[in-house]
Amino acid sequence: MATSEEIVEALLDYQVQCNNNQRLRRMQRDWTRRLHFIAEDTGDVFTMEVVRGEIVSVGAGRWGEPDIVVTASSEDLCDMFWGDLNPSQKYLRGEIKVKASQEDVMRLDAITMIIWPET
Amino acid sequence: MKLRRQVPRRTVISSGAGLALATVAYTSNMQVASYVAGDSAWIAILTAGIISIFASFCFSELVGMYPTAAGIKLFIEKAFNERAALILAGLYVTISVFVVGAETYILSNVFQAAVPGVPMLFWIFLILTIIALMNIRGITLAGNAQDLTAYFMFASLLAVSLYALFRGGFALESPLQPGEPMGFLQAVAVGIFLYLGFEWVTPLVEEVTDFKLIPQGMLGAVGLLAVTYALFSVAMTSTVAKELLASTPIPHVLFAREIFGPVGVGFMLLMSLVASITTFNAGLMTASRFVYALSRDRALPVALSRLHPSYATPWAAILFLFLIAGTVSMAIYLTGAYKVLIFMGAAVECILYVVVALAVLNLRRREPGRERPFRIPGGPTIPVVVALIYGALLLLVFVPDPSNPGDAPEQLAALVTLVLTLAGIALYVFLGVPRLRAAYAARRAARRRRRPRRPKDTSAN
Repeated sequence: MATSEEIVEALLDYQVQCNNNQRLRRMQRDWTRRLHFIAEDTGDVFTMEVVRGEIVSVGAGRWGEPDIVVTASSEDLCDMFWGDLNPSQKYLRGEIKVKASQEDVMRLDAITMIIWPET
Repeated sequence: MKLRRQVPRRTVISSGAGLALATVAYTSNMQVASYVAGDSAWIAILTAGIISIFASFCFSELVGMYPTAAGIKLFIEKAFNERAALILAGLYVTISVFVVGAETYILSNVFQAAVPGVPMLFWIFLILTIIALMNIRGITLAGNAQDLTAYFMFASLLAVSLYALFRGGFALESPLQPGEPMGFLQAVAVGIFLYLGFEWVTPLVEEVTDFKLIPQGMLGAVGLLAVTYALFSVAMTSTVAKELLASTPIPHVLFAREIFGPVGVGFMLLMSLVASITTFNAGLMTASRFVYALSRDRALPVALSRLHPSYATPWAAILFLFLIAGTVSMAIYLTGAYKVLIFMGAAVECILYVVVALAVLNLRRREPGRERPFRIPGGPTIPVVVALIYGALLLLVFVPDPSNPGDAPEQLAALVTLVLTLAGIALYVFLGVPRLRAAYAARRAARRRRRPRRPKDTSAN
């Protein structure tokens, strides 16, 4: 079970990886969304704000109404943000659950694929 | 939980009904009518609709348990195993793309009827290219646009049907006597194809916060389709000779020309365009996303998960499906055997519904304690009935009808093509997928874990 601090640390690294990737920034340039990540085993909630492809804020807590809600175990969330997990595989097995449009689900997975193509 | 953007009930219904109402549906509507006497096809269409409602109950129970867009693959995997899930999901997506190919061919026929000087191959190429480019560009019909086009289509078809019946003084030929029981049952079996796609409402479960909208959406979609098809079928057969309608891929154009003259052809061209756009929109796009996801899951070659650098769309998967749909269109163009796709589509739907009904029963045994927001009332009765009925209809799709001897070669071709497609997918799942997965596992093992290890962290990569 990952702690809230570990997930925030992973989220901060994820933010740097995303924002420094020019290919990803170009691909997501029209994408503005608020995401909630829920760790179902601990009940912790994390919020991420994406504005025109740039992750402008991440952190613990629930802010505002989301466009996308991702629910997974705290371990899977942590591994996903560190790029150690293929989110598509977990999603297809029902271990990561998403509430969002099909386009947003794909864009979310695309982030991991662009940053860590080998996952 | 609330989402900033939520899909309302009307859009859930329009998505399911809009996808099922393709241009090829007019052709299959006449195929249904050719099995029964007089103007009684509406009985077979409504019967197929009622059976589809029972199937929708099975989908509702399963999607409630696994509320994800990957639902069909996921709940078959949970009920049986991953190989069964991959084979069935693969077959389902393949047939959906075949239907896109058939739809392109029929739409090209409509265009050729409206603009006779242009060769059909041009239309086939043009339509598929536009659809592929729209998909790669990420242009979709969504929300209000989806509602507007779908409901416009249904309202127009209902209005035209009523006008045609009124114009003919509601003079119908044996509307309550379908004729031979065997012919009627085969009409119901092929009638299943008319509803192909209503279950594509289920991926919307990720875009609604109230699960009840999914079962309601499926019911609404099937109801709307049943009434529209039934009325339209009676209107067509009571206006134009049934033999003439059943012998062409564009019966709706003949029907509209009979009522409105050249204006009718233009009207049906518009209706076909709208119907095809909604089908292509939902069909090809959802199929390409599924191919992308399977590629990311290393069940398909990794090249199929390539994304467009500007639009974040799975261009490689779209082109792959474009090639399959194009090949199917060409094959139909060269052979004229468009009915093969209708028989295959009906058969695959029957297979899917049998498996889904068995999945309901299996999961009740395997996961009795799992939360079910919707549970089919009456214990195992409805899933058992669904499995038996669709199993029987599956056989009937391929049984030659003495009153339609001309269909026998196409029924046989459909059976052979289906068996070969199924065998090809199964071979790939048993031989190809393990190799892809092994290569992926080797690459993963060589990769360093990025997550920092904690002093007490014992978890492995």
